[in-house]
Amino acid sequence: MFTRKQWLTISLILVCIGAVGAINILLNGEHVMGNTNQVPWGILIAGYVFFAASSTGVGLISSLGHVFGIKRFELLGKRALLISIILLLCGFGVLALELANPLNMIYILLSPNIKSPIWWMGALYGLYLLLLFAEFYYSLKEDHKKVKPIANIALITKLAAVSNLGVIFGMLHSRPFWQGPYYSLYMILTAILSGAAILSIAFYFVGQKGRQVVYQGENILINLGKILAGALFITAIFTFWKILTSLYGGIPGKSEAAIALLVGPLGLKFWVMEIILGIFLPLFILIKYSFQPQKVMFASILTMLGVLFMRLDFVLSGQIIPLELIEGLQITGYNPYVPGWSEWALIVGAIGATIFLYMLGEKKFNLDVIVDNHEHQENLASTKTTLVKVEA
Amino acid sequence: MARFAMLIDASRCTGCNACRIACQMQWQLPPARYYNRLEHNEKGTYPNTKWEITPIQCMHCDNPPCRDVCPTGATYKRTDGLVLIDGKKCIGCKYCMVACPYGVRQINDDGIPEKCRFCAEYIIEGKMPPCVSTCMNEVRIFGDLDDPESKISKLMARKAVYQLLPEKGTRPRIFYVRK
Repeated sequence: MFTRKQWLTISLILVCIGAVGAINILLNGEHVMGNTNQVPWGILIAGYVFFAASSTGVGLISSLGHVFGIKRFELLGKRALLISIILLLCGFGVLALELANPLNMIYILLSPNIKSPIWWMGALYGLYLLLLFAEFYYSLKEDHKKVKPIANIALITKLAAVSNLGVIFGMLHSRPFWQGPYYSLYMILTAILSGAAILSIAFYFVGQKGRQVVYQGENILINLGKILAGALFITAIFTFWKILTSLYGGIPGKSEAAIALLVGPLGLKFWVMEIILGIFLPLFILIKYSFQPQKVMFASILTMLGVLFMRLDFVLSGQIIPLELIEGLQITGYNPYVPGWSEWALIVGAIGATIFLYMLGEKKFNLDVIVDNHEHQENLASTKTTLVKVEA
Repeated sequence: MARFAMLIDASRCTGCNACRIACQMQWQLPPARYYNRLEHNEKGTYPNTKWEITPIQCMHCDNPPCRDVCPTGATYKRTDGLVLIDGKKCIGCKYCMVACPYGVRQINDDGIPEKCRFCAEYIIEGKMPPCVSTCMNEVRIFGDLDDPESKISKLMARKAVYQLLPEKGTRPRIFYVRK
């Protein structure tokens, strides 16, 4: 694998690509984006959902340790908090560039409309970010008396925030494919999915550096892999029933969107990237290799690639069908949408920024949580023995 | 208090698009941006077919979803029924565009999802919106429903009318004469 320096270089290159895209969007606005009046939300909204839900998912899984007291998940501790903060900041960054007038955000405070789910999204994710900072700060100071209540409030906040993310789409009666409570539950589920995948990737490399990733003889990646497999399996069931219920009865706007996913313009992304690469292949790898840490990491990378396209499919499927506002109006074709290169660059840059900031965090802060010192020493000793054998 | 509304008799529309162009001229819009449009729909089976035209613009709904979803209250409804946008407050999230079941919002160069505003600045002076005054066949009738002497009130009392997408619960202020 790459050295730390190589990782830093790669992530910085990605950040530079993102910066070029961001500058192009800032200079030229909507003209260089794929959005149209018919498809107002594009890949940057999908990107925001990708980062925000992943941040929440990382937080939800780490809650297993510091809220529910499951000892082995306490290993995730400070690193999970840092990852969650970085992902949310990157998500906000992507969203800020999608917004045409982000400076007017002050009116969210000055003239709030509490009927708007986007207002609640700002409020809940804003609060979540503050709680994350507080939790991280007190975790670094090892002040567990303060961490515990903050973590409890953060758990409620993150559940509210991520389910509200689904509500933003579910409240839209104009878009039959999105409308309803389904996407609130789906967001919680897929947040756990991406949270487990991101933590698996991060903790694989953390383990490679000789940090504690083993608790009572079991690598944390095995547990994360099992959560990932469970989430993948339930996501497959959710997706299956969503498609089937949408097709059933040929309801205008719903069935056409499902058809667009199955055999229409979203078909390739849906089948290849979301279903095969993002769900079935990782599930197969996890089960076939019995959650071996390296395979869990590999399955997680595939999952995250799938999740990126899952978010894009989700955002586009609600808008791809032209609105049928006159009874009997013949709808010909789909609303076209092609993301601009600047938007792709921005997503790539945000991924780079996540890696870069995490590596800075690893260097700057002491992120180790020693849950069982005795075991950690044994683990270190066995790592050293292996290294000696390899060198010999 | 006025209660502005519009009655559209689509059966009189020739499809000349003068309404769209008049609006574009009035608001100095580029050719690709428009606040009203004509939807064409082929009816019947060959050879007995006809081209049905339906003029579409912001419905100035009494229960506008675009107002409800706007996080900063940039979209608001006036007491006289006009749904307007305060560009200063708009963050450009485009939630209103996604929420509108009639697809009438158009993003402008400042990133604000604009739309028909019933020519708020002109009707105050007693003038008609250009889409109304320019139409050779009087397809659109604009006026105050609270004034029993207004043309729209008299026509609404005589004609059978309908609204688009009543099932969405938006209660549009644009009525169509039933054919």
